[in-house]
Amino acid sequence: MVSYWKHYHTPETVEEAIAALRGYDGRARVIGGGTDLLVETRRGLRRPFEAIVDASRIAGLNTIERDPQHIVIGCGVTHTQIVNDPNIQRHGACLSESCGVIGGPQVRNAGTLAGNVAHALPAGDGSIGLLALAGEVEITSTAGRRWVAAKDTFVGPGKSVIDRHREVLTRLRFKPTGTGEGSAFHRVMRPQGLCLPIISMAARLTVDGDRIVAANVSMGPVGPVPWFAEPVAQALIGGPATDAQYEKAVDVALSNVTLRTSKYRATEEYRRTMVRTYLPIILATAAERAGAKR
Amino acid sequence: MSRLKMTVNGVAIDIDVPESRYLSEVLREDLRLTGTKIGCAEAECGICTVLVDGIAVVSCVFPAFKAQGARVETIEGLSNNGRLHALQQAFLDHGAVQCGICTPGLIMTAKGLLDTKNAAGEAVTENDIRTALKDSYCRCTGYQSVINAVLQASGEEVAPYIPETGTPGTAVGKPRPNPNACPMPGYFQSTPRLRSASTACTQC
Repeated sequence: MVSYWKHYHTPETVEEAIAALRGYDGRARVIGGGTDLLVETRRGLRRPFEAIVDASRIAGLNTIERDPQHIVIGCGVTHTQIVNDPNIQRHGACLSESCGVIGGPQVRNAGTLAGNVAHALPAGDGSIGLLALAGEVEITSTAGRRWVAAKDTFVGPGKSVIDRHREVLTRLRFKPTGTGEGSAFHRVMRPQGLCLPIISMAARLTVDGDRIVAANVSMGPVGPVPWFAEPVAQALIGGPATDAQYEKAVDVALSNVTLRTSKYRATEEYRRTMVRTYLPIILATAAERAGAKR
Repeated sequence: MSRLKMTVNGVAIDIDVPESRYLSEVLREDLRLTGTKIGCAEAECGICTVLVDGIAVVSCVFPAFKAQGARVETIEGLSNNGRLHALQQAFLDHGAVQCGICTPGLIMTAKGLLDTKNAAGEAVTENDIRTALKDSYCRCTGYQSVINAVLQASGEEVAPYIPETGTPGTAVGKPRPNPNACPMPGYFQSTPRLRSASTACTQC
């Protein structure tokens, strides 16, 4: 049996987790379910490392809670927990939908949203769902805790701003959608092989009558990191919730993204067509959920 | 090497294993519970599924020490004193086993679903089963018999599925007479009548 790591730590407090990371000085990896990282390591895409720090059993961080303004998700919360949470289904539909397509049921039972965001893959579905909700992540180090917008945590493919020498992603949060707000997610994929997305997109819209007054759009893989599509959102804000407006948003999206042809997944042209086909549907669904007048 | 303590199929286990082990490796190599099979070894095919604290996980990418202190269930723990578990019996009744390598994973995934639904007091629908088994690959049975077996184990009466076959007695190389075939002697009986083609027989 090949060893991909030597030591396994299951800290019960954040302090213990950080102490373990500091002890290994960058040679340890934090995992939630490990369903991404350990598969990549096993396939030889990543070099073996010294130790694993398992963040899924930290006390108090495996529940979904509400504070006055946010829905807060602990770093030990699995995709299955998110998908089954009635609160998130109603007030963060795109996150529920995005976590519901990750891997298979057994992977969702172990994998965590925190892991998906910290892993920072350009096509991370959970990341794209959270981005559209303008989610934030809490990064804890010995210096304390800080909330960072999820869109600012992605540095490059598989690279996050979180410092593996001394920091742990402890919680994630977003403002739940309320009256006049709605969100939606869709991903295009081939249902065989590693089920990687061809294109994933999510949107959150706030409408007033038939006007879009606020918008967030996210997409991936359209570049090195999951894209928080501000130009697309800007193209929507102030306009009516109509197909013509969505078409304008599609044009803006397509002129801003880098779509690639990948050997087993899809051609650039196909991805382009999928954006054109599905982005309006996602926007219309979000607007409908927001109660937009047509 | 570290102490790994867990309950496997109701038996308390306390063994010294390297911390780098996956759960599938501990089960198969250290505990010799080879009922759990390895398929793709990258969390894709669902063959290696076991239950950890009642939740179905793919043991091939599940670090063993993640199961520290947990209750692990494998296919070996299902039968009781030679009496098969309802799922095992249903798989037999419905012919849901062929080569058998995926069967432990299918049954454990199904057990995870049935246990969760039972605990919540909810009925199991065919859709629930299809969703739960979405990433459990079987290349022999064609899935319908598997789904029927799980439905039966959940308490529903399901007639075994018998796939459609050709009419008995139809030998290979001897096609049944085609009612549209050309009646001219010498023409192959199954050749359709070609009314317009000049190459066809004059009567067509």
